[in-house]
Amino acid sequence: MNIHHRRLLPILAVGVALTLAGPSHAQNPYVQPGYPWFPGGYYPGALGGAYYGAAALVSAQGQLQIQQEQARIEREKANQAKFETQKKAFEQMMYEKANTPTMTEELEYGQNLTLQRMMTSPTPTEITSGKTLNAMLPMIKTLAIKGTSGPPIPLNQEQLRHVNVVVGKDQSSLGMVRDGGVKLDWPLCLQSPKQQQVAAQIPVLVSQAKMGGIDAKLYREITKELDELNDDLRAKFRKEEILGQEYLEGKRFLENLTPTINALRQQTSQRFLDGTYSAQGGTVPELVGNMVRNGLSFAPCNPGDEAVYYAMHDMFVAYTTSAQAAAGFQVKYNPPRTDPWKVK
Amino acid sequence: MAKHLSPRICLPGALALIAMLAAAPVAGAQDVARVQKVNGSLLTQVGETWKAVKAGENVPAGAKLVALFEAELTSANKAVAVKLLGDIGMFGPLPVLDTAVRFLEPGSADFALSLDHGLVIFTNTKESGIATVALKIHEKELTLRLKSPGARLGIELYGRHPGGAKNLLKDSPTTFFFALMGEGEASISTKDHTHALTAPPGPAVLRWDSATNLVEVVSLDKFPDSLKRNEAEKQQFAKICAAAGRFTGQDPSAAAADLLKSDDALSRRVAVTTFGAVGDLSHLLAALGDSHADARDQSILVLRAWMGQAPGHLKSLRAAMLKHKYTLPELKETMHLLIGFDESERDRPAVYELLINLLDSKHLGVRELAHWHLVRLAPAGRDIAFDAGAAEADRQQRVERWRKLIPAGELPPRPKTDKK
Repeated sequence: MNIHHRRLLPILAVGVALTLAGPSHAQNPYVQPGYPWFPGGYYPGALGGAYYGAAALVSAQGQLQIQQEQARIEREKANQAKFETQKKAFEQMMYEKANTPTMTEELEYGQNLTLQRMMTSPTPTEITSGKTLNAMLPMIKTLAIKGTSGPPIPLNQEQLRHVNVVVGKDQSSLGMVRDGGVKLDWPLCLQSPKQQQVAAQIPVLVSQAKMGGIDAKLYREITKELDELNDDLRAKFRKEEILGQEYLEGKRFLENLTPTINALRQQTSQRFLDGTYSAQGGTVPELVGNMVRNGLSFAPCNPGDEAVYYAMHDMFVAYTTSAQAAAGFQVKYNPPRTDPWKVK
Repeated sequence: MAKHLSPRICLPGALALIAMLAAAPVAGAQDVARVQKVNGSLLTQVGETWKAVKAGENVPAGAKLVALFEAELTSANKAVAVKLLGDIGMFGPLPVLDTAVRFLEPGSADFALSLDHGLVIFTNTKESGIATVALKIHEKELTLRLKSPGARLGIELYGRHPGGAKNLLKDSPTTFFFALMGEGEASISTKDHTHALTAPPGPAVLRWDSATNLVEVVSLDKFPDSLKRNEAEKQQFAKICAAAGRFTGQDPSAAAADLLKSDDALSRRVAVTTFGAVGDLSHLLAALGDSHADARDQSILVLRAWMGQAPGHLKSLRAAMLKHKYTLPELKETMHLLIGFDESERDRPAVYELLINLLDSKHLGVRELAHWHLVRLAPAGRDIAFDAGAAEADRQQRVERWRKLIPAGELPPRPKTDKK
């Protein structure tokens, strides 16, 4: 990579000098495609060729930076997974000795979490609940106001489609029924004639919400049936017809679906369903700008979309870290614990 | 005569003989250490049976030794003293159980051994100069250099699976290596790096794990108090060693099974630890359904430690469960509970609902495991004296108290914290 860089540099310098010497046709919106001087044409001419070369080099350099950044993100992701494994395994021994912070103590500790910890060693739940992304929103906005930007990391638009958002912080997300509620991935332990009935009713309710108003009777019927499905699941588990793992899977699905159905009553549901309120933007700062302008927050991911949230988290961290470094601005964080046996 | 024997009859016998020869120390192998003192039992595996090694005996290269719970040896050249230490998981910051090692030909070092799991302390007993120990930790080879006479270095090795149901399929336990300098100075070298350690105050602890493969050296102001036994702990250690002292025959499992019937809780814990030490899964699983709560509790600790010793142990445990007449749902439930929950699972109300419902399971081991997790995750419920082995009516009362403490859909109450 370094050799490649060194080889590129003199050419790039010439290219930049040439670019500065005259207007770039490559970026001129008035030049029509196919025109002989247009760099994309079959014959750019002598001057056009120089511009073309310069633009191509700048583009290549940008692409290279993006690729390097993406490779760094991948490495970082792999390292993070290793640390996560180490932490989880070590925790098991402390747990046996009952010395581990209990879940509730962790929550207590969680209240004192700093942004730095969220960026460097977040828990999987913090990532998949959108908590880390929300924590980084104000900082990225502040950096943008200060005129500081990170690398131009492009956001994968397909991944972005799987990111759930809500207005404010307390609303429930409609991410689960984003596609009309027709492709819900019902776990096996919930499948039954009653479930099939609910599965058929949900798309109707979603479509009504999309049109601007829902039928109260249908809504009540669905919520009642969801409660019944919940009771049935519990009964199956108590009768030992299903395993604990299946119970948790079914419970998680219902825990996500029920608030989604409730959220269809909200006045803003129409805008979520027609895509007005969604995660949009070509790059990290663009996405943050749109979110802040519309008063949106990240919502927990749908089951199966965890990888998208991990990728988004990494991109936010990569962007924020680079932007912070460029601005000479770092967030303070609490010192680590000093117990020598405790793995950080 | 031999030519008349059927190959079908000969083959199993020949295979058993080969297995015995492979497992046993090589005949005529060089003696590499001498046992000075045994507190409890020091067992060596000979084929499929075990033999107690006593003070004054020599140990050849290739011998696999299991210490229950203290044994002192010296290297053949008297340059290194080796102490193998164990416990029933009650002493120290991490749960130490039995210690298992295999002695190796020292080559150019003063002493060589492969540490499978547990706690070993090396002391330089030379009159002058450096004592060298070649240490094998699974696939890694380390060289320990104890810089001067009296230099003492402790090594601990543990393995655990990360919590979370998905790790049941991966079966990739993480190994944790800790080195603590007790006296003097030493260095620990791998193929590429050397790390210097000194007794506290100074860089006294080195830790490494197989997940990140990173080495970290930690400075200590003083030797950790948590590693010094107080009077009560000394007495308890003496008791567990005395209980382990009865494993003198060829079948420590049978002796431990007798010990499990003891009226003394510590002795029962020693018995269960012994099942794990000799890899007797059948007795270990039986202990999970024992009538004594302490035996069930100990079996959880020992099973989890055994599962984490090496990849492949989960498969062996599943096979043992099937042999032990576990139904498939019971097997899956038990494995899930043995591996535990990760932090994303632990902040879900459904997990608590699941655990409380499992207090009501038909399977005693599953009830014990569910309670084992609940008291750790929700300390507020420690006052609810739930006994998984109690009569159903009694259990039901306690289950209702748990349900009241953590209603369905809620997380456990927050612990009271000291604002100071």
